[in-house]
Amino acid sequence: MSGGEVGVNPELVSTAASALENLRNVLSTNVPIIVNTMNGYWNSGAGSPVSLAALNQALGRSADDAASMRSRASLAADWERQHVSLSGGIVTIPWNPSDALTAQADAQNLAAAEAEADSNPKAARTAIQAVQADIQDHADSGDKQWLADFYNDGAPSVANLAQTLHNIDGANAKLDYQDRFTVLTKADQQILATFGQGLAATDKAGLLSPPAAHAIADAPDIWSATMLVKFGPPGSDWAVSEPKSPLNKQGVSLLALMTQSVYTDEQNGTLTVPVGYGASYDQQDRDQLQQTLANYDPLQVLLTADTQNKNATWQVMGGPDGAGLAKLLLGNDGSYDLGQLGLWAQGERNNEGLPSGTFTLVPPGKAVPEMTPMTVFDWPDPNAVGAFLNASTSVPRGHNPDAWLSAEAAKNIIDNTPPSGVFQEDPAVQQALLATAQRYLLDLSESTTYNGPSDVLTFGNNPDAPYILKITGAHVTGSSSDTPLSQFLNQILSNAHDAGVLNASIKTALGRYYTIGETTGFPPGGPASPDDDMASLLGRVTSESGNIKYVVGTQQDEQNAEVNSMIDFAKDAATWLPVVGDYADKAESVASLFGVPMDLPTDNAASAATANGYDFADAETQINVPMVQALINAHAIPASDLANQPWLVNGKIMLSDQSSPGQQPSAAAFSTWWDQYNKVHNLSAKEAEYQHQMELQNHQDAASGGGS
Amino acid sequence: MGFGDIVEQAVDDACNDMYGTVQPAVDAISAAIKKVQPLLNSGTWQGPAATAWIGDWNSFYSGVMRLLATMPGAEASVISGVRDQMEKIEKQQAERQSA
Repeated sequence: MSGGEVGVNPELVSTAASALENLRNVLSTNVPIIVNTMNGYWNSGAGSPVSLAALNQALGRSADDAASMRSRASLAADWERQHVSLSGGIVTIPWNPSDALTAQADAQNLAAAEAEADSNPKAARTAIQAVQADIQDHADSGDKQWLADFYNDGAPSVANLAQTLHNIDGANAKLDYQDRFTVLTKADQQILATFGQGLAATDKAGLLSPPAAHAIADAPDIWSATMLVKFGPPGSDWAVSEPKSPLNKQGVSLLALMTQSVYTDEQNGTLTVPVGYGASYDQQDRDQLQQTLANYDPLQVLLTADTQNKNATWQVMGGPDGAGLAKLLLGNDGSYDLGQLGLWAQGERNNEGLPSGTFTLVPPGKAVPEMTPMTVFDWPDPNAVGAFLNASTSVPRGHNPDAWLSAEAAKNIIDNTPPSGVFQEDPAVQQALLATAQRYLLDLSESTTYNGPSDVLTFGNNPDAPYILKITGAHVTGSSSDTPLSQFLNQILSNAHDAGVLNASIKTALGRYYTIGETTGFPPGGPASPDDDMASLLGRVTSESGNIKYVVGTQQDEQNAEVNSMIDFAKDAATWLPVVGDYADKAESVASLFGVPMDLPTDNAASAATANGYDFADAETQINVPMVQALINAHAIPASDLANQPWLVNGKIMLSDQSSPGQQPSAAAFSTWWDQYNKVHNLSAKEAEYQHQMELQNHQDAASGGGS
Repeated sequence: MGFGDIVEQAVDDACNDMYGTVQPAVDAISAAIKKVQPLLNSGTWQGPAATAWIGDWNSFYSGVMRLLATMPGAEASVISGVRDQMEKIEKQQAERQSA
């Protein structure tokens, strides 16, 4: 024994570490109480002050005392187990061991605890809690290098921790009725929270090594690894990318890698969740069992975390599994009960006839084993799915890797959206589809005549131009109603509110592009006639709307919603493809453009008469109202030409079939004005051009009878 | 409520703060320190580095314990001070009223 080395009794030094941790916690709670209360009185002149400096000093040093002693305890336990420097129950360790040494010791202690969990569950839990305490100490002190040393050494054991804790619980369970629904106890969750926080901090700091990331993301038990995310910090606290390596060539985030692993296991039928400890379930258990499994479903855990992280969503949806995952999440994959993520099947009984404590997710379309004692559906949370899909296409348009991934995500979503006649999406998911359509509106409009396979390209094959989408929207011959473009639009249009927003978006874009074309002209290097493209898309939307069979009440509500939804669209603000100029700042609200009253009720009976006055489905007003309003907005029509027009109120077109005394209805007045004005200014050529584009889409869609 | 009641109320509040809040916090810290002390002995570890650290720790926390031991007196002083302050105000109030 020499210099800074000491001989320690591993058990006693561990007890001392616990006592010092307790002292640290007690000081942390109580010193502020004493200091604040006493100073309050002393400052008011009551009593004779004494110095409380020693208490504040104790508070300061207690954290370091506890952390140092815990590190010594960890090292002593590790060396004792390995018979390093051990003599007569005393282990000789450095008094001030390096971070690397203690982190490695904790990693080895964790691995050893997991190895002995079956034979000595109580000791294993104690050892795991000691490692937890050390992680907490170093996390509290912001010691990221220590955390990196620990996780880079111990990643495989960390990934397996949730499963180990579940097994330890099983060894101690009293098997009460409620135990059959237990996956992880509150105490387990707290332990996993600490391990998850440390892992996220290491990841976010860019200190997680590629092999460690691989050990977590490709863990043999990906459910166990996912519990670090479930109980760890929100997805925004995890890294948005990893260092590129042979194991992760794109350098995508740990969360994205985990999601890909979960999807792979789900597809392979190897995704398992431990529930209870081998109970027999009957019908009365079904609801609670389903709720439990949904709560611990790793895919749903990661969808939420990915959405919080944002980058993980487009890395997943734009990655190799994007198309398959889109199919699964959009209910377009499987032969039974569309809309499920699969079926949880309890493992078969063992040779002694005892039930299994594990449920395996059988993916849609795959057969459930015959001897399965219990099965429950795995329904996705539509809000989580909708938010995830929405985030995946939200990268601003441009020419960078994230923009490419996001465009790929959009392509995968659009290509795999089922028509509403096959499966009606939840409104939360439809909302994501609508947002995607708005982000790629011009791309969709240019896809109306595209009959190749869907793809992501740079505009004009210019390597520096923004990425654009090409979606299969037409066939060489025959109807286009079964193309991905039509089916995607059909799904959006099946929601009356969303149909209104989409119509409003297209009409606004049409009017805007028309005005640009008539005034400044389109900037070079972009689409030649985006206004014509928008007219084509409007035609396709009109055609697909005709393919949707609304019930009578819904049809009226759709008209009302189209008006009201323009207001919602205005809040989101349109996004415009940069290749024709960045017009985002010019995208006035649709409500403003069309002069829509801001508080029109959606109640069918109450507003029917009013809504009829804004029948944008009318063939004439589909085109010329957006054109005129856009011209007015751009001050391209002289004020003298607009004088005393009853349909123009505060610069906005207000159409109504109702007339004031002595005046014709504004809708009729507008029609009269339009007939005269367009003759003088030759606007009818453009109107006819747009209507021709719309007609082409109608004919194309109906070529073999339409419908979808 | 008369002024005498207000004096008693202020003293009661101070008592509650001192004996219901401060002293339990003092006792909790004292107990936590006492739990550590017996573990810091030669049975736990051997070696000069440990011995030096124990010496420093014991010395420091002896000072903390001495401070904690003075707290009951400080608390009593506060209560007494509050009473004095309030009675002084009460007396001034009475003089103003008689004037």
